[in-house]
Amino acid sequence: MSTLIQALITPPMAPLLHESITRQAENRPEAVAVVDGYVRITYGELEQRSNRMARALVNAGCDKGNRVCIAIPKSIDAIVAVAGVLKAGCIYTPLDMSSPPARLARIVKACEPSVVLASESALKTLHSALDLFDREFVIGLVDGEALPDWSGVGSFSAGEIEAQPDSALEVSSRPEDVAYILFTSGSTGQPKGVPISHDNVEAFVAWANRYFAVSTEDRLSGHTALHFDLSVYDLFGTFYAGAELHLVPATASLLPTGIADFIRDSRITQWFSVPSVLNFMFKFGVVERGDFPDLKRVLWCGEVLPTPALVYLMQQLPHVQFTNLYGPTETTIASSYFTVPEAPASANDDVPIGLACDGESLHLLDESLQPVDAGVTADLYIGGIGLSRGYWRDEERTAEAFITPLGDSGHGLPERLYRTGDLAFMDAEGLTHFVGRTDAQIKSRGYRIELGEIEAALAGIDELVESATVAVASDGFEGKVICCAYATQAQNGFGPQEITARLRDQLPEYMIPARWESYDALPRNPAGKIDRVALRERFESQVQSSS
Amino acid sequence: MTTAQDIIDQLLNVLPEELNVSIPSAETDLLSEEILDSVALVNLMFLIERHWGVKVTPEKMDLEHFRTVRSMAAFIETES
Repeated sequence: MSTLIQALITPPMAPLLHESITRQAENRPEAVAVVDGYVRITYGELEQRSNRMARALVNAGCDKGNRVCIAIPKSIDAIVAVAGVLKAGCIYTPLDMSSPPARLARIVKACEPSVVLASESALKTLHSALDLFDREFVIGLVDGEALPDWSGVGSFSAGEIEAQPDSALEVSSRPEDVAYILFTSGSTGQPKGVPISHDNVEAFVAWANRYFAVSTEDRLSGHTALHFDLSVYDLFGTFYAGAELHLVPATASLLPTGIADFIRDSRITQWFSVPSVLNFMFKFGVVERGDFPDLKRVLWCGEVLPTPALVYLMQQLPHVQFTNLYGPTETTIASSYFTVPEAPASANDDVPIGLACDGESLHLLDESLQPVDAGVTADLYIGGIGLSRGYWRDEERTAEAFITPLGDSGHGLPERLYRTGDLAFMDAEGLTHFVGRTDAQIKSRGYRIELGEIEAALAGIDELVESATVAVASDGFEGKVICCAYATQAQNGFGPQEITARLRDQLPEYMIPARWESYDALPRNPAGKIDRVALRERFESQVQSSS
Repeated sequence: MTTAQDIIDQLLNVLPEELNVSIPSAETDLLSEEILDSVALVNLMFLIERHWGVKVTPEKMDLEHFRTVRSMAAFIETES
């Protein structure tokens, strides 16, 4: 009851994301904001440290709207960096430092940062990518002593950041200003930048914190990496509510027991992750009945949670509310929700993606943008307050995905719609159900992957005559398995190990195919195209027989 | 009789292909070197069950068993 009252008396939301921290620091400076293992930071300290960071960025030449890349493993330092970038009126872009230098370079090149905030552990990878950048930036080192001595690259140290005054900086940001740019897999091999504004995020957080009644008593999980947009809700869902964010240590994620121990020991009240983590715990049966007594809510987003895993968790954790969230990065964290009322009766039952969150709308439209009847599978479009203003410096792909329905406004369509590329239908009760993809985009372990990006990297390998990738479902917890069929020049001994080694220069680990099949020539369909249906069937029987 | 060294040899033989990784030596710390991630670890547990009939139950799920090929072999030898 008290949390309900608390939620009702919560003052109106701060329009700028970082103002949520300032507000908590004014009201409850001693309250804990973030816990990372044995290290914790209060709201008062987070406010001061991020103020110093903002000042250091401005001193280093950052202007309003400049990009700042963050090459810091998820930690309190990384969160201070995010808050500091926003307070400086800048845009943050987290870098996935496990990506190969060539891919990092493409992202850094695309967003043209003024500053890259890095931890010492990231310097080696950054340096190896440095030759590939064609623009200068300043490195801000947030830990360690050894400032890089790279020609043409300026730098400032953790000591210089700490020496800044801790009072707030006057920066006139507006709610419609971009807060972050995240890069997602692109079908041509060039990652797409998705800029999201303060008001995009604020709208989702306002809805979610109201719907889930998040309060100062809550302890939220921080499982997702910063380059993935679920982390934005971890951070700002926590800060808007004045709750505690508990970062999941990397080692805890390696084993299902590690995750269960973390939820138990940190007394997490709200868990939010991609489904593979939940499926991981199910596959190994590590959740006791009535386990996690402090846990109130489990949220997942990013792909479909297999129904058997959901049934298992609902049986083991009858005191917990389970909510499926759905939505692409382009429409900010999530756009629809479905709280599962009771465990599905059959493993074949799907879990709806449900209803639109406040301020957002789901539309099922045919090719001429006419709404279809209930039960009919059609393209899913999203409208409303979460929509990005379009891809970063890419008008062509923006025009393809963000459309303006012209004329015939009689259907009550919003002014702008985002075409998700997902197929869905609406049931008789008005709940939307996800069916599949219209294109070659897949989800594996929560990562959004365009097979085209993998094929573009394969096409750069001269030893291959031809190649194709398909994705097939697995019984394991990782979702889809990426499979590669290839043909090489006769007997050159060029196999999966050699191809994998080359791909690792271009692609992150989660995009590397796990299954391989060598062909003299790839099978073709009557139209003369590579027969992906046949390839998929071949791999399906392989994957099934091995699990 | 299968000795720990036999198991080490077998692991060094099958892991690169089955898990899509390269393993410098039986002593390499596969976790701190980030050679094995959670997906590889899970596949490894399935592999150990398939090849050696050792089921890795939640109680036995200790990262130290999987840190190096040598520690894996010791674990398999004790459990089989």
